[in-house]
Amino acid sequence: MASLNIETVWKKYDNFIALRDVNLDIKDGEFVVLVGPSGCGKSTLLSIIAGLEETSYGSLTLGDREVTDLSSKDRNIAMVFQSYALYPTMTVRQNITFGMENRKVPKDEQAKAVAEVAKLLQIEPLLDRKPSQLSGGQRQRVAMGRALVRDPQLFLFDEPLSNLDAKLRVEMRTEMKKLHKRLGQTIVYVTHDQVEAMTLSDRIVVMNGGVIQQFADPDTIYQKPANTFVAGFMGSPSMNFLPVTISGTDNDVTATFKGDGGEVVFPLGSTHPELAGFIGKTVTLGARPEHFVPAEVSGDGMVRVSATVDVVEPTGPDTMVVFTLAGKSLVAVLPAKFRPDEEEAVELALNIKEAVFFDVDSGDLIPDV
Amino acid sequence: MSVAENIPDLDRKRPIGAKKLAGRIALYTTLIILALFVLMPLAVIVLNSLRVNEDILRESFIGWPTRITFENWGVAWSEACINAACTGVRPYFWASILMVVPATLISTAIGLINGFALTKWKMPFAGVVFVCITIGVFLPPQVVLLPWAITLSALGLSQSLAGLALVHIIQGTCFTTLFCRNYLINLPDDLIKAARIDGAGFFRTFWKIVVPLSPPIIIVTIIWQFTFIWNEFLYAVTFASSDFRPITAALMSLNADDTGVSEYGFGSAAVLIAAIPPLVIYFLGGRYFVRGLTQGAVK
Ligand SMILES: Nc1ncnc2c1ncn2[C@@H]1O[C@H](COP(=O)(O)OP(=O)(O)O)[C@@H](O)[C@H]1O
Ligand SMILES: [Mg+2]
Repeated sequence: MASLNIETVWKKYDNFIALRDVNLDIKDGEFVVLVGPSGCGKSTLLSIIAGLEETSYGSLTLGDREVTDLSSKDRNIAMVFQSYALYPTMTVRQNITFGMENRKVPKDEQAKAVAEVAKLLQIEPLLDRKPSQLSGGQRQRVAMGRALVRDPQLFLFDEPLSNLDAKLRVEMRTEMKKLHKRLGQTIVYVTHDQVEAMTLSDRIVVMNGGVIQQFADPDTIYQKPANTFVAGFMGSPSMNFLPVTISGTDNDVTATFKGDGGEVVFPLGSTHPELAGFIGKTVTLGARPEHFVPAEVSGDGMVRVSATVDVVEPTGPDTMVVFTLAGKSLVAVLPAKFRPDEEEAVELALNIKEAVFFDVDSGDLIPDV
Repeated sequence: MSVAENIPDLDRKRPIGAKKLAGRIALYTTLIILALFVLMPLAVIVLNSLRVNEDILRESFIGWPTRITFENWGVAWSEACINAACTGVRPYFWASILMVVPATLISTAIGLINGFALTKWKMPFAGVVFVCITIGVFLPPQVVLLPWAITLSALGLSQSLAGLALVHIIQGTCFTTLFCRNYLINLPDDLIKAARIDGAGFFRTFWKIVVPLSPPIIIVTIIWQFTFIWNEFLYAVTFASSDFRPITAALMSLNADDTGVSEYGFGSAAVLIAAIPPLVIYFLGGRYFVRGLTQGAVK
């Protein structure tokens, strides 16, 4: 186990810059999840940490060793691949021991290590099978076993659950979390699934276009996203954005949205002191779908709005409603029993305290004062 | 849900219309005629190798045997004269084996290593190197004959088994590299990465991961190389000597023995003997041949 420090790392492929100035300070025993859309450089960063790709600039420190120019085999890192990358011609046991064979670990130690890992992951009955004779979930376990058996300083996971069906994915997710609790390794875990990111991580790295957008704990990422990209990427359905004009005085702020279908006024009072400097300017209001409620249950700090329902999508536990507010299409997640008709005019209320505001030009969060 | 009690007729075939039937008949007739056309020469050779000499002299080169004899095969194998040495094709057969087997195995091994290095080991200038190697595939042998003669004599290997084997190893590497590269390019990159993280170097990854996944292409390459080198004639004739002569070169000098008997009988047998090893190789591995050339996928 060890901490991992990534300092000003850049990566260039031919003419394409895949990573720009990546800085991460990952603590010993921390479970860090990398999320971002496809092609944003997650696998590239993982490959660089693993030593499978070289950095174009910058340095990496693992524990107290600088590892920037060390090859994979000298870094003491284990990795689980999205494709599992099990050696097809070897048995499960041989798959697990291959790394130890290469390092000339004595046979009896190997046998002991395999037995331990097999017990931990409950793959004992599978040890003499070939990967082709395993189900997806079993392959996944074997791939984990191959990583765990080495007792490395750092674990890397590249979308390890994405090839499993939905039910198994949730089960394995819980198991991964338990395993981490129990063994306490340092983990860097890549996923494009934001639920996985929220549930597993101690801290989340959100990436886009090779740039780190935010590195923070899940609650901060969700409640105080650093910019409109993070706000829109994390959370499903996505956060709603509305351009609003700020007016009033420092202690009694009003945000006004002017759409094609009229005007909506959000009296903010003194709930958002960070907007003090923005009076007379336009900012982006961000409201999560679950921050809307049916108007009749609304209470303090709620702003009532009149909306027209476009689409109603019951999801089981909730009802997802796409509605139009002064000509702008927005999404709300409402209680399951709330089932308006399409085209119906409904009264909703927005919990304005939970709303966040972004600079219109940069898209950055307007920070609390 | 209730399950149907009676199983209906499940072997139903779609009825064939008269027009379609006529088309089928025309198609198969054509195919059979073409097949006969191709098989004719082979049939003639096989028949001649089994005919007695008088039959061939009396009738002609083409005809049925009045009685079947295997005498010709014996003569061809151990008695017929080649350049005044009446040993049959036996010593040339073994000379060919001694040259072809190592040349095939070595060129296949080099091709597989090349293919791995070119596709999976981030070799610098892999693209350029690959193009250079494959140019060799398209060079007509006549063009490189003289350069090879000069090279072999400089190496002191002219007209020797080792010399001819060397020519085939190097020429063959162009083909084997092309085959193996096209196969191995489909090997998942993650396997190689996993092996690197597991601490395996180039040769260990090659030996433990790549080779066990490559039997289809190894077999294809061996069949191809063996057949090509065994049947090769131009280099065989050019670099043959009284000490070393592959069977294809020897066949050309196959003479009638002293009694002046016609060559057709044992000549046919000798040709068939020369054709046996590639056939054996093909029958042993032919299943893989089509498969290996058409699909490179490893799953
Ligand atoms: N070997 C490579 N050569 C050139 N470009 C690459 C290479 N590997 C990745 N890229 C590019 O770098 C970007 C990031 O890729 P990757 O890290 O695989 O994204 P992610 O894992 O986030 O989906 C992509 O645009 C991809 O096309
Ligand atoms: Mg990826």
